[in-house]
Amino acid sequence: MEPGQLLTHLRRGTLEYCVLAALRGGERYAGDLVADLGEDGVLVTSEGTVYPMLSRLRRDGMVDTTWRESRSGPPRRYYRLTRAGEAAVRGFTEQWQLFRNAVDRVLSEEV
Amino acid sequence: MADVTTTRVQAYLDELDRALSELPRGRREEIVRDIRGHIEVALADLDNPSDAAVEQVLDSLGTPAEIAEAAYLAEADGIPDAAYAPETKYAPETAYEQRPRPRMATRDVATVVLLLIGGIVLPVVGWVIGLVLLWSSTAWRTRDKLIGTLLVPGGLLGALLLAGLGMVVVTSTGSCETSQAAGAAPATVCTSSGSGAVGTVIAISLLVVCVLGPFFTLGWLIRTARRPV
Repeated sequence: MEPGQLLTHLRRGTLEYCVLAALRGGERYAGDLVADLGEDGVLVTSEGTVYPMLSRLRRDGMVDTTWRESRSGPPRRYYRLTRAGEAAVRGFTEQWQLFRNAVDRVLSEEV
Repeated sequence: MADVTTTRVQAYLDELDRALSELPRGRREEIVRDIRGHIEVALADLDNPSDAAVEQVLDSLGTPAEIAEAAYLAEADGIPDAAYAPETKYAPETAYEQRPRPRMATRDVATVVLLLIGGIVLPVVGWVIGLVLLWSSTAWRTRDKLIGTLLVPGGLLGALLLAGLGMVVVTSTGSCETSQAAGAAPATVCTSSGSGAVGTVIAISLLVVCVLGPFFTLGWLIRTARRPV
């Protein structure tokens, strides 16, 4: 499997929780959130791909959004976690630690 | 310069809109609007955005095809399934329980009712209508639709027919008839005649399956139906 393809597979099922986790600090403008997630090029390679995910998360009640006027430029859409979103992040954090430990343990075994 | 910028951005958004054509209209419009907003905000910070600046913003967004692929993936998987199925570990159960559970869509209610008793009210046809509604609904996954179809085909019609058949068999079998007149339970009576006993046990088990099956399915479909949001 190509390294890029492998990353794509790994992102599936993980990225949406990273999006939610990035909102734990409070309400954020979508552009900042997207830029933040895309910064290292590992979680997100194309910033635009985060928007469909945000749309889905909103429909599922994980995030709420508000449009706010900006002093400079067009109105901006802000996102924040709902209680369901917070619970989802907590649940994922727990499971992720178990998952990561299990993978690390197997990978570090002496051959 | 500004015109060129607008044209380039508009071409990008048009391409995105086309790439998203498989999505329901509302979702497509939301994504295009969000992407447009992203571009406008990014370019608003620059006084007079150069072509290169525009290209850089579009580059970091990714191609319309990439965004569309992400959109179709987001439809297919993600947190939602976990949230809809309370048995899943990821499900934020507490948060969801605090909200009133939305009612099922009228159409989906009609579906489960028709599947249960439609075949009796409007022999066979009623159940078939229920089946068509079930398979054309987006409220259930394929697994649930298979359960709705196979457990038990015809709904309670099968149980009714089986019970009717049982009556005919019992009344036409001499030994059973006399014992029933004596007031004993038919099941015990028929044990006296060897193969008849096995037949009775099978018949009763079949009847139980035909009665409980449709009710299990009813409960299952009500539990798994996606509610309108």
